[in-house]
Amino acid sequence: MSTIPVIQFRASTTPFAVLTSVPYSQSTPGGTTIPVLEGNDSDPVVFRVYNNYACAAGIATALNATLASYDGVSVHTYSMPVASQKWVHVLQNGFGESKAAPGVYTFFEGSDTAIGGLNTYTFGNDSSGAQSSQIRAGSDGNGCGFLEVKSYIRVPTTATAGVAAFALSLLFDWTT
Amino acid sequence: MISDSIQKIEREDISHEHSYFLITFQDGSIADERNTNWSSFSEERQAYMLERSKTVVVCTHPVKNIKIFHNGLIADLDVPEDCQVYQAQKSQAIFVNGAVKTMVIGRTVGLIREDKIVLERYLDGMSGNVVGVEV
Repeated sequence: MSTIPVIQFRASTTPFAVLTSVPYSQSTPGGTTIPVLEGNDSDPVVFRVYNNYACAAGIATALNATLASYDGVSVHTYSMPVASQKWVHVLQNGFGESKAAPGVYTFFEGSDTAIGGLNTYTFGNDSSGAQSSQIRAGSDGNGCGFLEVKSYIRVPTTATAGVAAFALSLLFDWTT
Repeated sequence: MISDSIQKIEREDISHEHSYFLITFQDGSIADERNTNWSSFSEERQAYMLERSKTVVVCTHPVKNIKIFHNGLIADLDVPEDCQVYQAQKSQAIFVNGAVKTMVIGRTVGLIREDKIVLERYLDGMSGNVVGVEV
């Protein structure tokens, strides 16, 4: 039996905590952390997208997984600046899976891709290392798998100061 | 009958009351997702459409017809003898405001002939439209 994949965005280092946000900021030469300035890139943020971190039984594979950026929840619109101007850049930074969390990590470097609206990111290697874009729940549906992502934002020179809203989204197929 | 060889299950949730497949095999027997899992009679394959590849989960039995339903939308396909059929639910895990919310947003059905996708229909639960492509 296969139930819907259990997707979580988690930190890439121990204790691999569930993320409550992806904090984009930039560092000054003196080491101070500041909001990202117009015309600048943020510091890179590395996180993992897990399927079934809890290693429950009978969890489906997240097939044809792609990362996307939209204006917000329950919409596929991309009229706001972050999505429409494709501020968010992502590339795969690794993969792994195991019968027990957090899984065994293998480095893999994908291609830097600006995402937003119809521009989505397709992973090069799946959680097992095969050439496909999917996250398995371990090798048998009873473990965990993940894809590691390196991400940053590139703020246009024309951006105005303030808070820019957007949502990161993992789209995938699955079967029962 | 083909459907007699497929394991039946009892679902505890109601998520498949408005989103499910109904498949009629060549021998006339029927499998219904409300008491059957697609994984009980399918296998993963790589298929290609317009030079792009995707993983599809293909029924391993000969099929006469497949219907998919999603929140009032319907796709109904008769399956030619030289084609195999696949279907899947489309989901989205969206990360915003400090949490991840996963939801089923649609359902896809398609036909492949020798690993080439020849027809696909998508029931888009977000727009309320049925869209698709035929090669």
